[in-house]
Amino acid sequence: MSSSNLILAWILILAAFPAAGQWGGQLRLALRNDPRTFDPLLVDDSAGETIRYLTGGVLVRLNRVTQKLEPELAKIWKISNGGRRLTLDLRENIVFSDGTPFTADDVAFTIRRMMDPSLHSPTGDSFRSSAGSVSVSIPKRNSVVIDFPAPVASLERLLDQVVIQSAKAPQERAVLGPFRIADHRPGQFVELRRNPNYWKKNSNGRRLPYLDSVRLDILGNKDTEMLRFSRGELHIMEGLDADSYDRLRNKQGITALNAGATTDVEMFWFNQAGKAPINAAKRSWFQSRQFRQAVSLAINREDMIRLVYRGYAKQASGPVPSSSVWFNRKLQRTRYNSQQALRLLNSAGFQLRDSRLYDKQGNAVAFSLITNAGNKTRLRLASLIQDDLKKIGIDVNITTLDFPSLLERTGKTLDYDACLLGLVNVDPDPNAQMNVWLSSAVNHQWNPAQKVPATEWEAEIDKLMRVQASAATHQIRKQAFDRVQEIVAQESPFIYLVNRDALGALTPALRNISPASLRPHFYWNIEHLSLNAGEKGTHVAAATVR
Amino acid sequence: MLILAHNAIKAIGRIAFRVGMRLPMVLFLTSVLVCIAPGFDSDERQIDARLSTESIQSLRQLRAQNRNPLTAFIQFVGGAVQGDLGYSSTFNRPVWELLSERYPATFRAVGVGAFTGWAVAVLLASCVTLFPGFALRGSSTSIAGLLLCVPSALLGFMAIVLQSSVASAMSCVVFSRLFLQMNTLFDKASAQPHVMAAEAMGLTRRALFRWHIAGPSTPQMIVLGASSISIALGAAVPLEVICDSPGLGQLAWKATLGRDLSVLLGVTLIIAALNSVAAATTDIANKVLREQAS
Amino acid sequence: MRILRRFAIGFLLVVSLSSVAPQIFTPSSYDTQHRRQPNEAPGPTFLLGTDDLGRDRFARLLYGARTSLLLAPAAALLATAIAAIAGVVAASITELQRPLFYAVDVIISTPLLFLLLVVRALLPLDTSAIISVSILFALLGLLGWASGVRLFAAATQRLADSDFTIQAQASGCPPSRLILMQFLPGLIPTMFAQFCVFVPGFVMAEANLSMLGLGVSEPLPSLGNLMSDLLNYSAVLEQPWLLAPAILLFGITGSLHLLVPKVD
Repeated sequence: MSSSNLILAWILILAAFPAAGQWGGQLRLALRNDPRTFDPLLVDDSAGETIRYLTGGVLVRLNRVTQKLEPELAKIWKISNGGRRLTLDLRENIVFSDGTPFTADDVAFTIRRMMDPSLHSPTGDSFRSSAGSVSVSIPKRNSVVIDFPAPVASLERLLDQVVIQSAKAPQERAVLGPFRIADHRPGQFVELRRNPNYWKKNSNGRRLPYLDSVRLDILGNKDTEMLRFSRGELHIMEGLDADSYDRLRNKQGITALNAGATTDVEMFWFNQAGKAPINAAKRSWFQSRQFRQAVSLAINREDMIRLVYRGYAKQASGPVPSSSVWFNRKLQRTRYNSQQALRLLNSAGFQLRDSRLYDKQGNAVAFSLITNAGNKTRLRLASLIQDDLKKIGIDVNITTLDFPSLLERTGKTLDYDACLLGLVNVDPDPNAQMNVWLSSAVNHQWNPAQKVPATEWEAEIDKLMRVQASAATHQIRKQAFDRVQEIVAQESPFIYLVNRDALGALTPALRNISPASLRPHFYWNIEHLSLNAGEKGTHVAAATVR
Repeated sequence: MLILAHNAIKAIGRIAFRVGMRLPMVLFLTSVLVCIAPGFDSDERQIDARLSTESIQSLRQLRAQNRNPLTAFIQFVGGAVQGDLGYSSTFNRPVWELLSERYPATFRAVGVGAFTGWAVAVLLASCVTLFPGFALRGSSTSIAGLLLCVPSALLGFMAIVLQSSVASAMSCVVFSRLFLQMNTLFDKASAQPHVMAAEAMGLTRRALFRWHIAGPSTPQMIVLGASSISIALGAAVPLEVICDSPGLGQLAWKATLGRDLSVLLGVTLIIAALNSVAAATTDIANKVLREQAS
Repeated sequence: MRILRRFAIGFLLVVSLSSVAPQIFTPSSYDTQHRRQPNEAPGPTFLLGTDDLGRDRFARLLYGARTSLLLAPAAALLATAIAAIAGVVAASITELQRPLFYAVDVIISTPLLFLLLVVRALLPLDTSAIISVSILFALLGLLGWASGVRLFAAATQRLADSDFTIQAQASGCPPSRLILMQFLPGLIPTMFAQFCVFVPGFVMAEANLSMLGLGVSEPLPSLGNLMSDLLNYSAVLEQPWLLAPAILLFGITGSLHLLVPKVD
């Protein structure tokens, strides 16, 4: 058995059976921004999500490694009535961090508040599969029944995001998670201290978590975070780029880990909106399936993975990564082939003359590609796309815009040609992407907010997404979403590029680390993590989890 | 004593008047520029795939209701008079709370940085004049030139690497921008015919410098002192962003990215007030010096 | 000192020539991607190595210098000229001093960055990189003059209080002639010094503004965007040739400093 496989095996064993750790210590991480809110139902930024994860108690938890659902505050759950009814049996003898008992009333309070349309909770919106109100009842002590007006796809998985609030006390004081908010200095740090009443215990019956506290320093700058991590002032660094990862791999006293391909995907799309203020020639190119397919063929994704990500990425074939249970295994990977791209363009009436591509009307094919400023990785991807398309005679002008300007163009004025962005998939479930695939949705990027589907294939996607949203079984959902992926691969409204790997670095003093491709990659099992404060750091060879 | 106190009160009154005249125009222009800037009513949360269409529309409406710059300006000024500087959509907190938490870090860095940069520029330029010779002139010009060519963000980063403060990076920025002017100032004064004549007649370099170089250059040195504050305030944004210092510069940067008009007006209010006070003080001081000289 | 001045002039001539005709110094283009040779160390083929997309760093340095050194000095000249004229007018014509200083204080305090965003938004997306960066530098020149006005005003005031000015006025010299023949020439050292500060300042400003999408677009290089690599200090320690743009800019700024006239 090779050494990396051995390490992998150990990591998987540890995931199943966390070893007893040392008690005490403060884990130090970084947040990119101040959390906008501590209200778990209103969290909409990554900093807030981190705090929510570390302090919130949920009914059901998705194990980030096995991707299976595990009981938490709900020991049993049942879905019935065609996906409209959720029945929960709650654990008993659990108390909040302030000592008040956890009861069914708290679950009912949370669900009612979450589903209040005036709150505009992003978590609540995920449950809204149709108009109509949600009713919550408590048939007996420690049992809750929630009735939805229409089936909610993947209902139990969504509960992973629902943090139960106390009906009696504010969130800052009463939590059910492993830590509670102890101090917040805006712009500087958030400190969490152990919840003395946390319900989970270790194998010896002692109340978790092992750590005394977690300090999240607010560091907006990646380079500063890297410097502080190198100095030992931080214990975990997530979201490393390939350059930093390679640099840290070779350093003594640091464990660099690759948790495998993330669900995040880099992609670009052409503006196909009929009302977009672009000239007719461009509109006809962008609306041509052959044009989009040819552009996709002309892009060398392997070079992107090699040059931009240094091998720490996988080619993306669709909206979900190949490691996902939702991935359509029948999909063929798009292989770089500029000759085939040219043949496809010829068949659509384009001609290559003097190294420039012309359409049927004699217009030189050129378009602008916008992307957000300040993202070096994306800029490199754009440069590679520009260079690849130049080889087939297409002139691409790259324009970087600050994010609000970019959003205005892609969402409001529709004054752009093509856009390169990334999709952050918190949940790989297709239902989480409803507001991208439905043609009427405002986030249907290539042609948003359609009153009527503009094309037959978009109408088919609408139908399929509704089928999977209301289907009772996973098999039906998978079939429907497989077909969606086939249509997307054929029509190429999004030209998918790569799924990057989750790269991180840790201090070797951390115990029970179990890297996962889903967020949070390295501390999803925070209650089992421990710090061996007195131990000297020793270099561990970089391990890869697939 | 009474006359001094009277003059001081008069000067403070004049400064306050000048600041009061400038602030409304600055705030109005800021309001106009931010409202017409692209992306004003865009919110990053709109591309959250989880949000329903109704939630996204509600976000857009919230942003769009502040689009009129005149209304936004009047609301801000009206609120400011009552102590309410509005609410930040980016940070989800009252603006006055954000400003009161963050101004000490910036004031400290700007105060120390501007003064140190200016003082070191004066000191080095004085030494170069007092002790003419290529070694000192060449090395100090090289240091100033090198610091000019290094991005402020990198200076900030070096401050972190060396575990120093934002103020030290700021003083480098200020020094690099003032030294050459200070040097030129003293060189010009040294080249005056009466100074050269006095030197030829045996007056010491120190006396020459004190009475005929530094003295007449005082008004311009004061101007450079005032501009050191503007330079330091300008450098606050990249330095605080890089050093993760929770000051007004970092606040302004995040507010710019989020098109947060309330925060931008609040930060501009403070920066404009500081700049105006510095400029007004310079003008009054120079006027007094001229009156005394004549 | 004379030798150094000659060296500075020679250096600036070489840099100017390389900016105007970089193809004399390198046959490579700044945008050709040698994808099989990324992150190469300096060698005979690539004098400063290659970047992560396999582009010749030396070629990018020369073409980047062309972008920055043609545009930044032009913007600096514009800003210096406006500041000098405004300063002289403020010091010479008492009625105009207050409104001018008022305008200066307002301009310094207003976040004119948003004006740059507005102008960028008005430009079509397919505007070529060179045109959009030229417009950016022109705006920097038109907006960046305010910080120097008071300095020029104080310097002019000093000239106005000098004996030769009083003598000229007593001899009946009109104010316009005084400004043109005495004040403006007398400000040349100050103007040159201010110009030397503006040039690297505008180069840096372009780099900082690229964070908001206002800088030079790919694949066109500029000294500013080449220097953004310096923020990765571990990379700089391993690849010291990344300092080349900063060294070039230092050489240019230093040479300009050496050419600052010392006397009126």
